[in-house]
Amino acid sequence: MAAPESGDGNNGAARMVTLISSDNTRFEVEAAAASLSQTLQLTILDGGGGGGDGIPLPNVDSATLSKVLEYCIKHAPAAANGGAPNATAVDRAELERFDNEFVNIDQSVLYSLIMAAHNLEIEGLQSLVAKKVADMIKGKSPMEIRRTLGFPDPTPEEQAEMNAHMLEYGWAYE
Amino acid sequence: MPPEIISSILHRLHHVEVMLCADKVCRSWRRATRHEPELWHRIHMHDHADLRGRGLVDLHKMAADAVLRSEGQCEEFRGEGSCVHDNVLHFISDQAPLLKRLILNSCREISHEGFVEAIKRFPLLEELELTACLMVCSNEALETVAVACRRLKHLRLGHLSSSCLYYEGEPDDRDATAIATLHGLRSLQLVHNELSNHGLEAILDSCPRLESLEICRCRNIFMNNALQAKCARISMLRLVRSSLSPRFRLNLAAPPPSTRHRCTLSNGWLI
Repeated sequence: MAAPESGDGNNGAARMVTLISSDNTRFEVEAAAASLSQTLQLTILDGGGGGGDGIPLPNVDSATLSKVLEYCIKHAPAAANGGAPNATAVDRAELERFDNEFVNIDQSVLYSLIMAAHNLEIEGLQSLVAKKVADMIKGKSPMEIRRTLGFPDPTPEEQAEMNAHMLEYGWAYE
Repeated sequence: MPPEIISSILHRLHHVEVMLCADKVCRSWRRATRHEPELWHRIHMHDHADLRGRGLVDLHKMAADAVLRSEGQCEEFRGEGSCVHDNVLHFISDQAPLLKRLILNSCREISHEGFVEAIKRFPLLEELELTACLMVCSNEALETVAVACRRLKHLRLGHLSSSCLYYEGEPDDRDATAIATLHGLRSLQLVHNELSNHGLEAILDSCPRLESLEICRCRNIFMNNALQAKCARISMLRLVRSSLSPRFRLNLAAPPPSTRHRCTLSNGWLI
């Protein structure tokens, strides 16, 4: 296994890794925070991402990556404690407050975040955005859901297909 | 949107909402609602009165469709109000052989015969709640449950309070006698039941594994030393007094102090 080049645990300094977004912006972040991503974890364990190398992330742009890393940095200490069994109620409340504010974002940003959380396999973030989307579409009609999520309006063919399926179910009279 | 994400979102919505709305969002969402049995392992259908009022939805067929989507894997069905009737229950008994939890609340369209026929086909049932299902004769139904559902561990039986308001007859231990045949019970909750101390003692004698007992507003239960002694082994004991029972009120004056530490304070009355 290659030895990480920059600041390893021996002297207590946190090891750093570099991530490179699709638009070539470099982000230096603690390995512990980046390791919240299952996708990155193995590479980092193998010593990747250190020094001048950096890990390229061709599917994530810089705006999204910076948002993702904001989440990872905030959640890394709790994750390091194995889900923080000894976290205080104050810590948990603080994380919850952070999460609520974190997803209070524009729909287009949320969509990029969904895709990034999925591609990078960050479990907590995946749940957080899924919950946010679910909350956003609760009580809305199918058409409103489409608009909320930024889907284009259905073509007449698509609409006819949906209506046919609903009738097929037998419980919708519409 | 990747299917895993769609699925993760759908898991956070109510079943009725998934069927009514998510189903119609687009092709990939429809695929996710129809072809993911996991989404339907635990089904909770309640009456969406506003929808029915608009005449858009047949809740009975909808409940049946939800069960069908589970592809035989449904483990919990919770039905409230008029979304379940005999045919739906029959359909569930046909399509959900693995059912472990059945919760029926205010399902007034379920007949006694319909319930008894269906319950015979849930051999794996571990939890049953029957609340305010007026057409089901509880004591006879429980006799069938005792034979058919050998794994039953949790029972909640709730009657409407109106019978207590207008009925001034003797205690009725027929439910208790039937419950006493459910030897594997771990928890029992009775609401507005007419059972007497004698009936409750029979249950305590016959259900050695009972560890949680909740008696809510059962006006013929009178906590005396004998009953107290029998309840000593119950780790979670909760009694909510009936406001209609004069005997409870009398008993309020002298709550036995020795058992205080085990009991939950409810409505100001501590046993």
